Parts: sequence; C-alpha cells; structure tokens
Amino acid sequence: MIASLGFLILMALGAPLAFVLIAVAVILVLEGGNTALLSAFPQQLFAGMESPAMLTLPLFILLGELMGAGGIGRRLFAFAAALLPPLRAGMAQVNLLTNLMMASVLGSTVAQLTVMSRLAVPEMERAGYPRDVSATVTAAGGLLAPLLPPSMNLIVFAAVAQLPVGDLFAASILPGLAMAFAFMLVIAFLGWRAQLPVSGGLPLAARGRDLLMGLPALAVPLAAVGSILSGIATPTESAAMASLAALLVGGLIYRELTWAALPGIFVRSGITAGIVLYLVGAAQIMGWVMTFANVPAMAAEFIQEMAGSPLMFLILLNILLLLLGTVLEPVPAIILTAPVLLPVAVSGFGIDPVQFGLILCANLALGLLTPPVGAGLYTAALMTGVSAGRLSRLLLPFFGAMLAVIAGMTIHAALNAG
Amino acid sequence: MQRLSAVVLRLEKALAGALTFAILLLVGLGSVARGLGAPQVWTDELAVHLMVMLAFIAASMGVALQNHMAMGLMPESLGPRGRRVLARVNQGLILGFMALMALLTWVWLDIPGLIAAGSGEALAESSFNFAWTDPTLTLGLRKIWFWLVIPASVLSGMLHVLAQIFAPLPETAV
Amino acid sequence: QELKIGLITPPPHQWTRSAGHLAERLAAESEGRLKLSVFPAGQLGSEAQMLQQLQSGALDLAFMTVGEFANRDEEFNILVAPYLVETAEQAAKLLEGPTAAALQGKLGKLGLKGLGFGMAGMRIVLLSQPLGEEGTVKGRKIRTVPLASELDFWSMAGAAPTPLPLPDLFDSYANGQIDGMQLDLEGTFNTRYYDYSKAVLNSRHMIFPMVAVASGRKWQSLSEADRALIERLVAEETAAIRAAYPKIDADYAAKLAGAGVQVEEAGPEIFGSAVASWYETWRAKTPRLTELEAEAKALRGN
Ligand code: NA
Ligand code: NA
Repeated sequence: MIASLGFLILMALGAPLAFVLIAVAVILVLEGGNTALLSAFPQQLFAGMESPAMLTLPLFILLGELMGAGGIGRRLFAFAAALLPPLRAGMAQVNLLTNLMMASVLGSTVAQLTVMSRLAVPEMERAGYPRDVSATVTAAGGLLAPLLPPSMNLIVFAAVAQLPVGDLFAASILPGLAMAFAFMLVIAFLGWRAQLPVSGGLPLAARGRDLLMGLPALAVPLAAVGSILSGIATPTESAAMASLAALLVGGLIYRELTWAALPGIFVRSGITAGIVLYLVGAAQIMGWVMTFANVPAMAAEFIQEMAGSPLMFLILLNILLLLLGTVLEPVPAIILTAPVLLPVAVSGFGIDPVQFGLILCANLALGLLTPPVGAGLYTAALMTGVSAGRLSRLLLPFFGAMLAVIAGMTIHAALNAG
Repeated sequence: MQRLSAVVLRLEKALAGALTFAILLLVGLGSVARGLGAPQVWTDELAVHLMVMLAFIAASMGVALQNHMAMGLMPESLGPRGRRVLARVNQGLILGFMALMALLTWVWLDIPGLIAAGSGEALAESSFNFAWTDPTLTLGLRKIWFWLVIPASVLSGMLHVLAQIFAPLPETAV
Repeated sequence: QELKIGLITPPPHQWTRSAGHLAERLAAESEGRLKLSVFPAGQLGSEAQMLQQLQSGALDLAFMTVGEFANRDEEFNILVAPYLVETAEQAAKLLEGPTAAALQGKLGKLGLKGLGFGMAGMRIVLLSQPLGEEGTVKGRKIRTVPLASELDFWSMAGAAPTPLPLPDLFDSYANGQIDGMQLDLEGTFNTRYYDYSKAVLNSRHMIFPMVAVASGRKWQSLSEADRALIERLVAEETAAIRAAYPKIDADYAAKLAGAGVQVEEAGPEIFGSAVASWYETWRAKTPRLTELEAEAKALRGN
C-alpha cells in the first residue's frame, strides 16, 4: 500500500520510471518480509532481461534507424502514396494498411512500431500531418502485430495453456481484422474532424517516378518477409537480414547512407534499445515480486468468488487484465495470469480456452501502450519526440475501438460458454 | 567531476554502439550458419548477454543524457522556479536509487566474504553464494564477467548524477 | 509457515498436478502449519532463475529438469544417455537405483537438498519430412536444449543440433528453420506438432528425468519434524509421478492413434552409429556412466 502510494508520487515528480519500479519492488519485498529475495536482487534483474525474444528490440530499432538514414522509409511511403486514390487522411490509412501487412509477419508491437515510427512519421509530417497525430496512428497500428498471426503473446499463452498454437492463430484472424477495421474507422473519423490532409492528388508523372524510385526500397521488407518464409531466419533474426538489405540499398543504390553516419546510427539505436530494455527489465522484476507475494492467485480467487456467470466473470477478467496491463508488459503478464485464471475460466465457467486466450492476449496487448508502464508507448515517444503523456491521451479513441472489439469477443465467448 | 562524467559518457556511447553492432553480427551469423546446416549453439546466448549489458549501460547513460522514460505530468504544469526545484529533487531521487542499487550489489557480490574465503568456489561452499562461480550455458565463461556490468553501471550512474548535482542548473533545465 | 514450489511445466501437466497434490497433503498432514503455494509455467522465471532463487533461499522447493544441474556437474548428463532402458517402467526403476541416489547426493554442493526423482514420457522424434532412403536423421536440423550430452548425441548422428528458444519453436518448425525436435507423446498430442510432421518416430531413445529439490539454506532453518514430513511427502509424490508415466505414455499413444496420427516404431538405427560413439565418449568423461549402464542392463534383463 505504502509502496504503491510512493510509486504514484515519485512518478508524478517525473523520476525515471525504471528506477521507480525497481525501488518499489525492493520496498514491497521488505514489506513482505521475504528478505532472501534481496540477496540476489541485481542478479534477478539481469536474469529477467536474459530472453532471446527480447533481441527483437535492439534489432528492430536498428532497422528503423537504418531505414530512416538510408532514405528507404521515405521512398516506401511515397511508393504506397502513389498507389492511392484521393482520400481524406489517406496517408494515415496507408500507415495502418502497412501496419496490417507487417502484422502478418511480425509478432511484437514494439518491433513493429519502432520500424514504423522511423518509416511513417517523418513522411506523414512532410505531407502536412501534425507529428503527434502521425505518432499516434503509428503506435496504434503497432497493436495489430500481436493480434494477428504470428503473435508472440499467443505463442506464450499456448505454451502455458498447452494448446496448439495453430488453433489460437486461426481463431485470432477474425478479431484481428475487426480490430484493424475499427482502427480505420477511427482514422476516418479523426480525419474528418481534424481536417487531415487529402492525399493522392499527385500528377501521373510524379506517381510514376515515386513508384520507380520505391522499387529498390521494397527489397528491405521483402528481405524480412522472405527470410522468414523461406526458412532462413526466425522473426527475430529477420530484422538482422532486413538491416543488411537496408545497409546495401541505402548505401549503394540511394547513396544516402554514408560510412561516417554508421557509428552514430549504432550508438543511437543502442541507447534507445538499452533504455527501453532496462524499463522492461524493471517491469519484469516488479511482476516477479508481485508473483512472490501471490497477487495473481489472490486476484483469480477474488474474481471467481465475485462472478456469478460466465459473462460476469469475463467482464471482471477484462477489468483485472486492463488494470494489470497498465503496469505490466504483455508477455510477463500472460505468464503471471494465465496459469491461475485459465483453470477458473475453463472448469469454473465453461469458457472455451482458445477464446479465453484471445481475450486475455488482446487485453494485455493494450498494456504496451497504456501509462504508466508501457514499453511501446515510451519507445514511440522516444523515437518521435512526442511526450508519452500526450501520446497516451491521443491514443484514447483507438483504445476505445479496441475495447469495443474486446467487448464483442467477450459476449461471443460468454454465449458459447457452458 | 563534470569532466570525468563526460569522459565516461563518451566511453559508454562507444560501448553501446559496439554492443549493438555485435548483437546484429551475432544474430546474423547464427541465422546464416543455421541456413548453411552448421548451427552455432553459442551465438544466441552471447547476443542475449551483450543485450543485457547494453541495457545496464543505457541505465547509466540515461541519467547523463536525461532521457530516461518518465511520465512527467508535473513538470508541464509548473513554472520555471518549480521546475528547478523539481529537477533538484529528481537528481536526489536518482542518487538515492543508485545508492540502493550499490547496497544491493554489495550484499550480493559479498567482496569481503570472497576475500576471506579466498576463491569463488570456497565462498560458494561456505555460504551458498554462487555469484562468482555460476556458469553460462554455452560460452564456457563464468556469468560474473557479464554481471560485472551491474556494479560498473551503478558507479557510472552515480558519477553522472553527482556531476549534475554539483553543477549549476542550466536555464533550460527540464 | 508459507512455502513456495516453482516449476516450468504448465498447469495441466502431471508435474504441476503433483505439486498441487503435494500442497494439499502438506497442509493436511501438518494440520495447516505448512502452506505450500504452487508457481507453475515459469511464473518465477526460467529454471536458471529458479536455481538462483533456491540457492539464495528465496524459493523453497522446485521440480527441475536436469539441464541446469548438468551444466554445473557433468555427471548429471548420464541420466539422459541414449537407450539406457526400453520402457518407462524401467526408467522409473532406474531413477530409484543407487546411481541416481548418488547423483542426488551431489546436489548439496549446489546449495540444494535432493528429494527424489520424477520423470516425463520417453523421448520420441518428430520430423517435418520422412526419413530418407538411408533411414537416418542425418543432415536434419533438430531442435535441442544446449545440453552437452544431447548436443554430442545429435552431432554424432550426423544431425545439426539447433538450440532454439521455446517461443520461436512453432514458427521455426512451420517455416522450416528446423527439421525436427524431440518431445514425448504427451507433448506431441497437446501441441499438435504432428500436423507439421511427416514422421512421428516412437524411438523412446531417452528418459526425461525430473529432480525434486529443496533450497539448502531453507532446509537448514526447518524443524526436524517438518523436514521429515516434507521429505516423506515429496518422495511419495515423485514415486507417484514415476509410476504414472507408463500409463500416460500409453494413453497418449492411444489418443494420437485416435487422431489418425501414424506413430512409427523406430530403433537406434535412425541415429546411425551415434549410440556407440556416444557411450565411448561419455564413459571416458564420466566413469559413473558405467555404473548406471550396469544397473540399466540388469533392469532390461538382456
Ligand atoms: Na502478427
Ligand atoms: Na501499460
């Protein structure tokens, strides 16, 4: 109690969030009396980040930087815009469609939004969009990555629930597409209300030039997708392959990437990635301390007692998950909650485990973008220069759209329960 | 002290760039080697360890560069005088955090115990503290070589924040 | 008193269910004095993290695979020697023998107290493409954990042992970054990896041991009576796990058959000459292997 109060005060003061989380974790341990946890505390902080899945972070941030510096992002976007008919907020819709395509290859929000922040935000700004709006659309688009297959969240859930990953992937396509459609409606609405630029008015010659100039840039996304589908690279490694392609295209074809610029790119990527990683590690140790205090099990017990019907259970579940998502990252949150909540959902209320998994993962995916702790939110903020607070406020309509889809999933699961 | 902090920061930046480059190289190498039918077992573990080192170095760099992630709701709503006070308070909080980490690291590494015991093995045997003997899985190295980044980042983080505390606040602070 | 047990298996897995059963019995037989909380599915972290927690006394009990122990003491590798036994019943007996007990005694050096062995199903091989003309796994990229003995075995079989983090496994198998993996019948059915496998080979080439351990630091602080109670109940639970697996293996073989999966019988020949070369190498590395082999031979009765 004292710890969470202190947390709020320190955060409001503007202290580095990662430090606040770690300090609060230490206080919680002292309150809980399990001081043995402290004797290897730095080691556990280190171990919490020792995950191969996290390699996506530095690699995709680097890829984003290389694409920006090599002029690849600009040309890819011009390429897409050249295909577009005149449309209000057209560039924003292109951004979302690009995200949708990337989501069918990538499984992690942070990976996707780091690349897209470098690729789309400068282009939208050039086309006359305010930077904060561009950053918001990009961050929201990143949410599609874990909602459509492949998805890191669903893979982790499948392992915990002992379900076939294939079943979860198949079932996630419809809600994932619904989410994308809902986001497009939000963009159309925002475009109409804020009078965002109409795009697609280019003369034919300019369109042809943009299409031609964009062709080499296509090699970069193709390297990412191709190396995965051809069996050369895992999704994590595909970032390394695409980075190589970005180096070649940016350096040899567009000649915008110079030797002199490379050290700076690596240093900048390293700092951004390191800072986000450290925050993820800090959130991880917070989750670990909460687990030691048996918080997930107590929460499961609480909503089991409170709920009288499958629908009531699912509504309480949604609330609990959204709350947890504010302070935890999706993957640790799934590992924390799924083992205690799944048995209650399945044997207590007869809910289909696959549908339960989709609801769980969708709720927790949102956590990446919600303050106070959200690696996706801060990465987008760090990479676009828009403050995290402003970004999270602008994201509200997208959160609303997502909650509407989650509500649909909830009702569907409740009707099928029993 | 500001000069020392600046030198350390330059070193940290160089290290961060080198680590990022090494991670890219290792992951690419792992993928290519597997594609050629000769998977390497050690590339992933090394890349992951370098990545965690990068995170700890960035924790200290973030102090010097003042680009750690924070919600920062209050600074926006304060006048210049309030902001200056808040900047000092935050410096104090960061110093407090670094001191806390230093204490935890000191307890964990138990250097007096290590010296008294004579070796990491002896310390492990006498007090079940395996900090100096824990092995990596595929690298043939002890973990401690990577873990040493923790005390290093605490010390440099402390240096950075002390340098800020002993310097006058720039007019453009926060 | 509050105790914690950590494991990496998910809630429906036998190890986790046994941990839950252990918690119930501990509460009942200590008349509520000992309360055990179960943390499944790696809630407390990876096995490496749990080992660190056990050593520092933050975690009290764990059911662990042998990987972390084998990384610290080479002798633990012998428990995953290829073709030690033929059936899960024999595997259970082998884990009750003197060599297993001697290995358990070595856990003290790691800051642990060994409380008995459990196991999972016998290892089988899944391949995305059928065996070739020569009938071996040669040239295939097989997903393995980075455990010295396993890496040796697959290399000697001419395969390319490929360590891959678990979250990458599904995509990698579906896209062809790896050509195969080893699993048990239970895992094969639950993950439905058979959908992506042209060959499900019931090789039963290896046992999959589990070690029940307590934190050495914590153990010292417990009363004589509590230690005795925990020791007895954990021993009974691990015995129940060992006894359960022959039936679990048989059940899942039937379920796979019911799902129309063709599970082929496969002998040591699919590994070429790997079995012989493996024993040659590891007998030289760890003399205790010879003792375990003798026990296993007596159990096989051939
Ligand atoms: Na995806
Ligand atoms: Na959040």
